[in-house]
Amino acid sequence: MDTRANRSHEKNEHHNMTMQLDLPDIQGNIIRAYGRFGFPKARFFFLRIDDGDKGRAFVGTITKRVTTSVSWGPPPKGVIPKPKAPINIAFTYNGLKVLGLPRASLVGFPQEFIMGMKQRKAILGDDERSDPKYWDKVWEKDQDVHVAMAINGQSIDDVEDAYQWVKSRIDFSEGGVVLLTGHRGDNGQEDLPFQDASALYENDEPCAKEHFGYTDGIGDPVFEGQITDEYRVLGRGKLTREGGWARLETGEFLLGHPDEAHEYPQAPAPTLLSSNGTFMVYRKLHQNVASFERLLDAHASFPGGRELLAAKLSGRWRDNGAPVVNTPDAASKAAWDQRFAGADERTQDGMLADFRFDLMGDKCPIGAHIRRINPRGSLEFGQDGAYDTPGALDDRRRILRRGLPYGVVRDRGRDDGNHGVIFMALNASIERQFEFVQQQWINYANDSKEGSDKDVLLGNSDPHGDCPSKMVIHVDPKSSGQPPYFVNEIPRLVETRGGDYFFIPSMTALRMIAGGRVDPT
Amino acid sequence: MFSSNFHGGLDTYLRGMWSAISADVKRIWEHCVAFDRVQDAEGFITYIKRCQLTANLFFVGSTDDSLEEQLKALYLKQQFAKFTVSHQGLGAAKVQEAFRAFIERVQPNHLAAPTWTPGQIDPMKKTSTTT
Repeated sequence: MDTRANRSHEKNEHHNMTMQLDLPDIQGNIIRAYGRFGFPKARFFFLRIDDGDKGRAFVGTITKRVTTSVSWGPPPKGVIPKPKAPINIAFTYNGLKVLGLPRASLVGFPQEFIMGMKQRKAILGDDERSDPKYWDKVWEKDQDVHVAMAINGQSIDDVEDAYQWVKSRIDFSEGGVVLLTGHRGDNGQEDLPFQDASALYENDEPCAKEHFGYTDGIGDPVFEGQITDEYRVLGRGKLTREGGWARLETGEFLLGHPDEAHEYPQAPAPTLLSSNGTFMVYRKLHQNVASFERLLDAHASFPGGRELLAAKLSGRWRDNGAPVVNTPDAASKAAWDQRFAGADERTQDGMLADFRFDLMGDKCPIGAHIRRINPRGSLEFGQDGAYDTPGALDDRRRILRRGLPYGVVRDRGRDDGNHGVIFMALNASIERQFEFVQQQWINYANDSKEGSDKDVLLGNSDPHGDCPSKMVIHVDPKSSGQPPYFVNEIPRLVETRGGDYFFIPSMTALRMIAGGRVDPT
Repeated sequence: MFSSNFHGGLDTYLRGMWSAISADVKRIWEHCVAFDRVQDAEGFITYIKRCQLTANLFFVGSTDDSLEEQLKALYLKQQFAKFTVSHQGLGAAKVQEAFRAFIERVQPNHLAAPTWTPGQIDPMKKTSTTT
């Protein structure tokens, strides 16, 4: 037989087809960002387990209602009806310990997960007003938070119904499981038992914007096995040397599958405990809305105006998310807007997601937020072939973005109040993915050759002192005849208000944990 | 494993280490084989050289310039960044005038001063107040 032809056939098949994941085994929030699927409301709450037996019984009951990744909607595509309020569950290291995981399993977890978010504050840059001593009270005793639960909903009533059911199961545990209070709320509360979150609304319709006015989550990665329209791979997967886009390897986001290095991610034994699970970063990020507005005002002299400056800071225009690399001035933006308005949904998606950055940064600054957190192959800095693929460095630093905004901004002239983002990042390695992005690309800029400049939107900036935080907005000196523009005295626009690292087990693992049947031998 | 980047000769470097921080050196190496026989700087140099490994792949975190030159370069870079930001938007004549004063102040050809002090990562940063 012709082996060469066979091999080439296999290769093509691998290239074109996406692998089949065991969707009923994977929790639903891993595969889908619920916010995009008609669930604009969410409630997050945290539990302490005081009794292992009762805790395991609780996990067993909850597991029966946990939303998996099976497709919903009308057949044949949908397998189940669309849930009104998906429920998901995750655990801290201390939680897994209290639930009785054997030592031989516990030692297999990565160090950063064992330590928890507070202990990693030096790496994350959680200093000054982001220091854990200013966090919501629920995080006060970090050994207390054992379980994270998330309820998303088509409406707040759907969320409330599911929440009441979970609460009845907590009550049923007779003190074995304790609902932790201590979330700050809209009306000055300090001791709420849950954190509510909601999409913001534009013209009475939920939208994907956050409190600064930017559209969030457009570039969320797409990986092998994820059920999604194929065109969404463009701009969201990994760059190939030929300039195309391919799905990222599953193991970047799901344990028990090969990752971009063709290795299995570090995971605890036994395989059944870790496979199809992943790690979740939960962070409550307060947004200093007034400081943001004042920063834009302070640079009213920026050539091109306030909205172009806002677009240069993030890499996207605030009104419709247009990537500034393709719309670097008023004329190109107007043309883009016109094309966008007349385009079908699929074309619009491509216009928002499918782009690469310019070499010199005169269109999209090298320090712009979306360029820092996802450089899209631009770290080769024009040296084609520097890496195996243009994005070989970024492909290992991608994170799945989940979560929603919280609170309302009542006065854009004030920083205080209760408004921000519940930021959730899902990845196979918190240290290699989320923490690296936070430490190296948000709070430092050696990789992007921007010195010690920090990400304007998320960095732990210091506007005072001898070297106040700044950002360079590049120009093309030849065509513009202008000097670069410096945004200086950048205030800290986002402050951490709480969070921790969690493990999201597969359904199989949940049943093993509930049954006390985790056997690493 | 002990690894270090330094400018100058190995003997001078190790002798300097012994004279400046011999208490720390003893605390670090006290449990190592045969270190109990090290009594003085020369003994320390001999000891380290006998334990030295050849590294074929080595990350050099520094250039071949002298420490003085590197500190001056970092100082200049930082001062120049501050200059550009604080003179943004001024006319060419004013910028040129200010730049002359700037050069006068930072003395690019004078390595000894003004400059950064060895051992300080960021001399501009005030002592941290967090505990």
